[in-house]
This record gives sequence, structure tokens and C-alpha cells, in this order.
Amino acid sequence: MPNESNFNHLRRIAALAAATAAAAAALTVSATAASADTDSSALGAALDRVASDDLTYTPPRQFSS
Amino acid sequence: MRELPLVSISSKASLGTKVVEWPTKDVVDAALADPQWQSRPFVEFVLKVHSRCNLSCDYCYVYEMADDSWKGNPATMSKATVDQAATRFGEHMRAHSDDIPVAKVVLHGGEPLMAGPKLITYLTERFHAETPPGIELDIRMTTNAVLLTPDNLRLMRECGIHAYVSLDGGREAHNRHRKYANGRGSYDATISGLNALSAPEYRDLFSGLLCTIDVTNDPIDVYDMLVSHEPPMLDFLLPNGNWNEPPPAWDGDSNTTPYADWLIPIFDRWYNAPVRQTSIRLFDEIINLVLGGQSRAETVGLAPFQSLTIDTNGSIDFCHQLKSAFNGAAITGHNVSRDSLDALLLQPGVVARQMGVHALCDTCKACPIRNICGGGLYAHRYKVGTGYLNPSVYCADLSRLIGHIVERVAKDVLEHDC
Repeated sequence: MPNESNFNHLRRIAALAAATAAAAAALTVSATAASADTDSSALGAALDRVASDDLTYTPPRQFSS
Repeated sequence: MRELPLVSISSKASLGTKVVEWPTKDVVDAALADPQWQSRPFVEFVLKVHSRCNLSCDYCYVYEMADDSWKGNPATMSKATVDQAATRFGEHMRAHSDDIPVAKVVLHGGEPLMAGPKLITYLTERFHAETPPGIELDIRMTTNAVLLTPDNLRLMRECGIHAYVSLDGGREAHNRHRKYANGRGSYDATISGLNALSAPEYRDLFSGLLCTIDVTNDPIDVYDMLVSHEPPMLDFLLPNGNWNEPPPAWDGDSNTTPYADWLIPIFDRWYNAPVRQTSIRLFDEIINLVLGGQSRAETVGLAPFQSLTIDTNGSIDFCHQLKSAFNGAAITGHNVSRDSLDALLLQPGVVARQMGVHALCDTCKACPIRNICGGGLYAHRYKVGTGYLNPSVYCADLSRLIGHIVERVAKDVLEHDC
């Protein structure tokens, strides 16, 4: 379980994740508007997925084995 | 939502009587008192069509861990039980059709192909017949590939069954755990079946590879071997374990992270590739959460889990991975012969997995990355006395892996944004 030192690191990670999500939202909006996202890397695929997600729908998590 | 009690003790353990561990009925009361909470229907049905296996893998949660309930169950699901299961499925689909775009049926075992073509054909026909218009039925199977013969591949084509194949890496890695009962490794038979499934005429039925992690294997060798089969999806599964029965490489030191240390080189290789070679479910789901999306895998995230398992005897169970926790952990007491699936929606074990952050322990609730980790896989949280109200036994590994992924993704996204 995380100790205080680990928690400080995790706080920084969480802040970074929040900034990333905000930046990704801007990125995916502009990519969708331009219809020009041809990045076939893992990150490109991930941004495409987020851009096409229906944010009003909470998908179920599925069995993983 | 009000605070949940850690544990409700029905009687004293010291007297040798049962201690009721979390989740208890209090979970249901708390959920019902919360105007924001909403029960979600089941959309995924894991059918144990055959309860025996042609392999004897040493890490199997069905046969080698805490639960031995399989011994008393029929080897194969009967046609009568298939009928009852399909009828219950149909009732549930019709009752919740507005909320279910896709229903997933997963044929599981043991080895599901041991159920034979007649039963598998009958089952798929019955479930299709019970699926209302407007709901897509997605039928999958998890197989060790040993029985992926030409006849069985034709069966899968005719029944529209897509398959996940369990493969742990190259010959040495795979054969270390995935053996026949006589000790002989299954690698050659698995590869033969996998190659048949990967042939052009059946390739569209290939869903992906499932690899259980053994940190004694070289991670890049394992990844390269798996990717050489061009799977549409790969998943790396953390070995089942919990606070009482820890995973193989776990030493109890929160500063050591053997599983994250094993996964991170694979992440870097996969993430750095100019063209993505495949989907890696664990990584894809974490990245999606980091980017503001939601997870679709039970291993991470806080979205509801809407899955149940039906055993060969018709028993309606919680996810069978819970069998790794204790004997009887997956049992609900319900059976398709007499109970509707709706009757399970207010079971504590179902509600607890549809409550998001409210179902996490205090340590996880206070954790800054709880929305990404989600407390980890439910089975990995178990501890005698407190049940599933604990962090994952993989907490340190998940924290390190998520931290690494966040830093890598943030660097690229924030630079891109500037």
C-alpha cells in the first residue's frame, strides 16, 4: 500500500493525468474538426478512441480472462 | 452515499462460525439510499459449458486455487441447463433492452471445446433465438487452442464464435505452466491450433491472445513472440493472488514492483513503435483513462462491472476469478432453474461492483490515482476478515505502471498541445 512518499508521487501523477486529459480533449476536438488525424501510433489510436467515445454513455467493464 | 462498514460480523469467528465479510447487505442499503446510484443490467454472460480441462495449468483459478466446487458439478452443461440459461438471458434482455446495445456471451471452462459440437451449436442457436431485435449478440470463447481442429474451426464459423487463445510466450515460458496432466507441455498443440485459427479463412474469428505473466520470462521475448502471431488484441494477465495468497513474485515490500518492472519494457516497446502493432488491453485501457475516457476492462477503472457466470449445473455465480480467494467465493445461491437474473441485481456482490469509488476502501478512496487504477481487479483485493474492501495486492505494481504510462503519455500530449 502507498506510503506518504509514494502518495506525493501519486499526487504529481494525478495532476499530470488531469492536465493530459484536458489537453487531449482540446486535441481530439481539433483533430475531429480537421478530420486529419492519421497518426497510427499507440497514442494516435488512443486519441482517436477518446474522440469517438460517447461521453454520455458509461460502458461496462468486461471480464478479462 | 453514506460510509460503508468495513465488515459485518454475523457471529464470532473464534467460535468457529461464519464471519460475513465485505460486501454485506449494508452495501445494498447504501446504494438504494443514494439518489445518484442506478442498478445496471448484466450484459456479459460467461457460460461454463464444460467444467473439465484437457490441460492442467498450475496457476488455474478453477482447479488449482482455493475453490474446489468444480468437483461436484457436472462435467458438461446439459441441454436442459442451456435452455434454462437461455430463457433467463432472454427475460433479462427483454426487460432491459433499452439499456443494452450489445450482449456478450463467453464460452468458458475448463476447455469449452470439450463440450462438443452438438451442445455448442444448440447453445448458440438458443441464445440467438432469445436475443431481442435491436440487441447485438457477440459470442466469444476462451480456449487453450489445443482442440482448434478443422472441424471445430468450421463449427466456430457456423456458430459465429470468436476466440481468445491463452498463450504465455515461447516454448519454455508456455510449457512451464500450461501442461497436460502428465506434465508434458502444451506449446506445440497450442501453436498448431493458433496457426489454424490465424489462417486467412478463419482469421476474422481470432479475438486475441491472453498471456499470464511470469516475471521469470524475458518480457521483450514474450512480447515479440506473441506479436509475431499478429493478434488483434493482447492482454497480459496478472497471476491471481490476494493478501492471503500472494502472487508468485510478491514479497510484501511496497517498494518492490516486479510486475510493473516486467510490464514497463513491453509498454515502452509497444508505445514507441511508429505504427501500433496490436492493441494491448491493459495499456489501452489505462491510456484511455488518462486521456479522460473510461475503461472497458475489469482490471482498471471504476465503470460498472455487468457480468455474471453460469456454471455447468446452472448455478448463477459471480465472476469465477473470485474462486482464487476462498472456497465458495463465486457462489450467489441462485440458479437458472428457479431464479431470474434480475433477482441478482441487488446482491451485495453485484452492487459493490457497480458503485464506483464508493466501493473502494479508505486507502484507495484517498489515493490520487484511484480513478485510473480503480482498486485493481476485484479478486486481487481479497483479505480474510475485510473481504474485498482492501487495495489490490498489486497496488505498488499498478501505481508504478500507471505512473510510468502517465508520464510517457503526458509528455507527448502536452508537447503536441503546445
